[in-house]
Amino acid sequence: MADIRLSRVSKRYGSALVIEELSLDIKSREFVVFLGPSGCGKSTLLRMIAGLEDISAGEISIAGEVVNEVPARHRGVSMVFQNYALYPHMSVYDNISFGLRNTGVPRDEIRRRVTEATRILRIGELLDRKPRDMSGGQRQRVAIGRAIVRQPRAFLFDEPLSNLDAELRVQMRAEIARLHHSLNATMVFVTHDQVEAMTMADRIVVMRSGRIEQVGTPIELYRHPRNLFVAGFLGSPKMNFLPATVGGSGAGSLSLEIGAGRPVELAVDTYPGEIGSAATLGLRPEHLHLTSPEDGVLAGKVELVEKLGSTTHLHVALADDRLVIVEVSGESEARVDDLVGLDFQPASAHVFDADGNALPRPEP
Amino acid sequence: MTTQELSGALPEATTSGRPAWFRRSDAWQGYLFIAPFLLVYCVFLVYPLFKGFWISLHDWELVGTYREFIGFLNYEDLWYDSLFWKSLWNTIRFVALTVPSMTLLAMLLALAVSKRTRTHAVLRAVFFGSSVFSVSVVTFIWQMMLNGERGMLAHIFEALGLVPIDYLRDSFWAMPSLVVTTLWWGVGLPLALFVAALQQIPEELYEAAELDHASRWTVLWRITLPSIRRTIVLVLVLQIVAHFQIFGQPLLMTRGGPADSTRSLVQLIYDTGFRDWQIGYAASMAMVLFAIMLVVSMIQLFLGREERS
Repeated sequence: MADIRLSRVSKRYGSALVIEELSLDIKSREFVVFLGPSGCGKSTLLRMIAGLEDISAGEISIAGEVVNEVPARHRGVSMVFQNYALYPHMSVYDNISFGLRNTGVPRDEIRRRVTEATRILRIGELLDRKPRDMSGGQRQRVAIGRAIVRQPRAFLFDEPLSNLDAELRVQMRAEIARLHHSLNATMVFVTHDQVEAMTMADRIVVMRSGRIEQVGTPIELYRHPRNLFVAGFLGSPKMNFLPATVGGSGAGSLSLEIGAGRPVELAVDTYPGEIGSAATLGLRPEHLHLTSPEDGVLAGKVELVEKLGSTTHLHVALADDRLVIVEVSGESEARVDDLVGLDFQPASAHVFDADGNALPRPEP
Repeated sequence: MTTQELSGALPEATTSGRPAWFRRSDAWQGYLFIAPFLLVYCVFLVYPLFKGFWISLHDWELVGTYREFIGFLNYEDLWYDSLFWKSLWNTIRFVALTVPSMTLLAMLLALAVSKRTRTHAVLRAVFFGSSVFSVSVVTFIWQMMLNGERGMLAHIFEALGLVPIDYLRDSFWAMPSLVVTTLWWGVGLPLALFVAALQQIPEELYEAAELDHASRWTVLWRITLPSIRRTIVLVLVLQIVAHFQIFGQPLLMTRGGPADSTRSLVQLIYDTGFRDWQIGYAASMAMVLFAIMLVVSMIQLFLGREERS
């Protein structure tokens, strides 16, 4: 298995710059997820690592070898495509063994590797079938099998679960995580689904407009998002953002005046900005709890109640008509049109300055 | 409504759906929609086919009113007509030379110009361009090329100190000359079909093949050709059906000669019917040609059905 290093990598299509001087180190045997909205450049970056896209500037190295000029076939990576890219007229066995036959691997060795891969992926009984006779999940397994048998230095996954239904997606998510564990392989996985990223990644690379917004473990990103974009992208339901004004700052604390609520005192490491400047208060739905309207930092009217069984999501309209989502454990007794108060532990709140950057805060 | 009423109403609602009169009028509306097509189909295709067969059972002169029912005597005469067999053989030879070379040429050109770039689009337009000419223009151009005294090839041969060949009057070269002319004229349509088929192959298949170390030959043989198999069958059948009907090129370029070596079946049908006025006999030849093309079409249908299953 190999580490992958991207050094000031850029990609340009004509005058459009889609990846801008991006640097990243992926450690050997690490499971890294590129996460971001459509068009952020995550798939392009993956294809640049694979060798399917040229690199406009910068350097990509795999296992210490610069591969900028190395054709895709000689980079020693396997890729699983979004639409599986199975050869439609070949059987499962032929699809999986195609790459091995092209490199002159002996027939017995091919059979052994295909058998092993299909055993791991539980598709041993499908070897004679054609792709058109299989379900989406089975096709995806064949595509992964094709990647496994080549014993690559790294696996690249380009949104491989996006064509599957919700149930199958959860199942395949677990299987890929299990596969990573059993193969102990370097894997790079592209997705726009933050749940996939959170559940599978050793580290997540959050991308926007061809740039890295933040890199870290799922919990690091969840607890310490660097800016409003990362804070809003990770977590479901997404973080509530409330406009606020800095009322004052002291040693390790900051006073915020919230437009639709009472002033709050929050713990921050430092506040380099000015008193009176704009800020944003970020509150995760699961960190808010209900109180009486008089006792809460915020107060509002329940507009919608979503009962999910284990949790309930309450959509609460504040005095300034801003909607706040509250996640309550179990079944809430709140009803539509109830007046409720909302409170939170100051340590759980996130504060972002006028530029949208997070103010460092102590661990909750 | 009581439960009894409900249970009584349900069977009718589920079994009949709509009242019978409405369903009948629905069906009539359907027939009305397809009526214009059926009318044209019957008047211009079905009727002439049966009329042609009926004529072929007669000694039927083009001019005048002489019509005598003779059963299958025309077909019996065909069996002993050496010119018919020669024309049929010429036609088969033309088809056998043209169809594979046309298919191969169109496929190679399509592989070379199928990318979605401006240069390839211009080249596709150029290659398709010759298809828009009428047969008289095409044969005129190629007569100027192939003429043994004043043709372009004759000039080139002379410049090289070689003896020019009069391609259209040479019994060996006349048929290949018609084939080359037809290739130049007709490559546009199969080219367009192949380009469309090639452009439908997902790019990801080629990327997967690149990662699978497939050579260019392997990619062509194992990915591209199997992916356009249905189009290859379609092109082959369209070409066979089209080229069995070759007429204009031998008529205008060789007059069927030399020594009937390029006389095609349709040309013989035309001469028999409209020069010799033996419409009944010509119709029997046309029926044979129809039967050949029907068999080819059936083979395509059969192959297409097998592919789908």
